[in-house]
Amino acid sequence: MEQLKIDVGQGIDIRFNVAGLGVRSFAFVIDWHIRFILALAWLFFWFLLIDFSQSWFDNMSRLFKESSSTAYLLVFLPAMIMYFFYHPTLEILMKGQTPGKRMAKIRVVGQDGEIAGIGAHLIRNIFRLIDSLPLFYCFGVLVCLLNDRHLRIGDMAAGTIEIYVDHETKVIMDDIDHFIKDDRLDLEQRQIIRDLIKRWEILDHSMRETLSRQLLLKVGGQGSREELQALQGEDILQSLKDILSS
Amino acid sequence: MNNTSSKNSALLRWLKQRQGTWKKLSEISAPGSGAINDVNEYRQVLDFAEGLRSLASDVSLARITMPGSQLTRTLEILLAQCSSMFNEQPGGAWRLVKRLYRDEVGQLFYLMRQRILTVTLIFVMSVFIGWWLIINFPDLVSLFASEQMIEEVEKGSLWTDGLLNIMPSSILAIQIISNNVMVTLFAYAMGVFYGLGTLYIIVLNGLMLGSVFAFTYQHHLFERLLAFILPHGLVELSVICLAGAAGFSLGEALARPGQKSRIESFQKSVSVAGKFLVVCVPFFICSGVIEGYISPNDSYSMANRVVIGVAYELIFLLFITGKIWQTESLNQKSVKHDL
Repeated sequence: MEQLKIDVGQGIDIRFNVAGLGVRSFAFVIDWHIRFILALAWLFFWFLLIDFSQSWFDNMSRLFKESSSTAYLLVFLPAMIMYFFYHPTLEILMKGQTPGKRMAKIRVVGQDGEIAGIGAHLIRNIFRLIDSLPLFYCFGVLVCLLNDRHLRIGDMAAGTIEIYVDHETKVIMDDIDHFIKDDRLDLEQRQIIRDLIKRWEILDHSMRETLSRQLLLKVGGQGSREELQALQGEDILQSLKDILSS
Repeated sequence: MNNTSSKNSALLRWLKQRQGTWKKLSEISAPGSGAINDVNEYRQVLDFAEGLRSLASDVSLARITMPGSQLTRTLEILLAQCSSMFNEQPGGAWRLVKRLYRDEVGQLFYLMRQRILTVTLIFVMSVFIGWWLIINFPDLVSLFASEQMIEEVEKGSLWTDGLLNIMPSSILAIQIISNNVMVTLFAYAMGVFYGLGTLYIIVLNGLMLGSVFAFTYQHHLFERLLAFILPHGLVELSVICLAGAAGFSLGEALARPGQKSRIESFQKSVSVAGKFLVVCVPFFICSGVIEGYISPNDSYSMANRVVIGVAYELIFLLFITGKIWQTESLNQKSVKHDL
């Protein structure tokens, strides 16, 4: 996977994985649904407000037919603003993220790793006009596929890049807290248990139970050796959770 | 076993000692925490800088003693976040806008003056070519105007007649502003195709204007169309030419990057030319408002329309050249030829 090397000074550089086309598309699709639903919800809200006595469908068709100025200014204009200004506004406010990017655990940063400025966010969004040509972002996708860093034209113009920010800093900080209070379980063991819990559903039944029993015996779970070996199913999972929270 | 235990107790001691600093830095640098504003305080900036320096030492130590561990990665990410926050440009969108509109606008105009002149010439030539084409080959008008427009003109009326009866000024103004913004953004962004996209948009707009003028001239409606266009048109067309110049500068940066790499040259050009478009935004809005409220309103005489149009264009030119603020930005020596 391509990496972005950030020089933080003092002789240290830090590497981040560059977000590829797949995860970028995933974030975009989520964002597209959010802005579409938001705009639609706004329209429905006004249709409801305008006349309670008629059905939604009647209200909608009446508004489209009449297209009065009040309807346009109050109903359609804000909905259009929500739809078209979603990306630049949220990227600026959320420092390079949108709800979709947050769910996909990616972030827009400058190509030197610094926080991208307002100008950069505006430029990368203006160039969506080109990336979306001729339709459905074909040009942007093609450009993205043809370069190592998966940049679309907007990123090239604004000097930005999308990187993975999937690290759970807060969780590790909590682990340190726990470790300081009770050092029977070190940071690495905590991480292994957490990974196991996280992947519980996708692991094979017998495999996850064997792994868990071995882990519980090693870290000294609550109960005797025989009791731990007799644990099964959800009880094992619960024991792992208990160890983390104890 | 003893070795592991002493390693654990050393780690524990270190964590106990450093945890407070990491938590504090983590809270300050968390995206959207709001704590970023507090960093502006002098004492807090010093503390933050000291924390950053000690965090860098922690990362070095963690990399040596616990390579590849989650703790090392956490500290690395924390360091990257804090460092990027520390190097972030001071905030204040208002301050940036003020600097752009007061100090930089004249410089930008000076830097782009040759391209502005070139694009304006291309546009004017396209208008004349459009005119010549329709005067000599009237049937070609269907290439540039819609059927509805042609029918209206042939009936002896303009498509702009009674515009206010169709929709109110506010809606008209908003529609016009959106349309102008789209044309301008396209003229700028299409420069990415080595300037050819921009050339296409400028030439097409010029041909359309020239041909429509010629067509209305043939049907004795030229004066009425001129009266409609005058109040807002001069600035609107000037802004389109500026956007074209900005688009050409992108194309030129790609075609002739000079000593920079092509991508560096492109980025630099995008940023400079993009600022120029931001400067034009208030004029888009005013043009839209004039086009929505004044241009279709028959109560304004031709003389009034000329005064409004020329005065607006003069204000625009004074502003865009930086002369309205009397800045020294037009001083040739102060401008770097780096576009």
